[in-house]
Amino acid sequence: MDKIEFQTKMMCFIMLKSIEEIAKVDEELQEELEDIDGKIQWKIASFKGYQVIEDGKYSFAMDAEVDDPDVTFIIEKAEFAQSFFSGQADATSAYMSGDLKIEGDLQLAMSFGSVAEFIADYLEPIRPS
Amino acid sequence: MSKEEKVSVRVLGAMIGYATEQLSIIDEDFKGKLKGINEVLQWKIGDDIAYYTEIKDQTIKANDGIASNPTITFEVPNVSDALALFTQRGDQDITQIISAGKLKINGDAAKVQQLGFILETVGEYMQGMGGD
Repeated sequence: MDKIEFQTKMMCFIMLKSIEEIAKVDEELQEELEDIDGKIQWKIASFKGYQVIEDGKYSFAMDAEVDDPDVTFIIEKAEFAQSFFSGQADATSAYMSGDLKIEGDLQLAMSFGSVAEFIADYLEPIRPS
Repeated sequence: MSKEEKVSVRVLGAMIGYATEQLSIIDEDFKGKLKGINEVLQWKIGDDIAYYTEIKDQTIKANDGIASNPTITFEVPNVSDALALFTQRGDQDITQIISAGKLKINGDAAKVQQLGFILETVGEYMQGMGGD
């Protein structure tokens, strides 16, 4: 695993972990999670991770695959994943260009998009300058 | 302290723990340096943020919470100081941070120095992250 891929993996961890932490302190996010039900698998370059949202509860794991994911996000290029996770690449255009592949429930994929919007605000203090 | 700072420090602290776990798997040089180290490092930040890492048999395991048997404890009372320390954005080096009382270390000073390579290696791997 090279440095770019390592960093990308850490950014993926940050994304998965930050939703868990924000949900503890933000009622609005808690309400969003109540309305979502599903299993989301991430496959990025050579690593993976997943998220489960069930009955308003959120959990995640790195380095693992979930049984019967409802939606799978696939990004083959670590470099692209890095700009995606840092918010420099827009999800819709990434999907259109094929850099981001989405298999399964597109509705759930879009719901996840609205959850992900909370991340940028909360992680402002550690945003790379 | 804002809730954004608190969430950020929790997420970043967890990520650093995860990064050290991963390095002990993928980086042979790093793994080699862990040989013979048997420590439980406790981190306490602000009022209620705590996590610890166990180093044993050349592997690292990161956990949330308070360890029952820490050998070295790092305490950062102020969350903003912890953010500056973790992001290496502060204008003070580690010695100044310690002498200003922003980072309190409880444990064998020689061991603490010996373990410095762990965070240094994480820093090397993370250099330039997210930048374009």
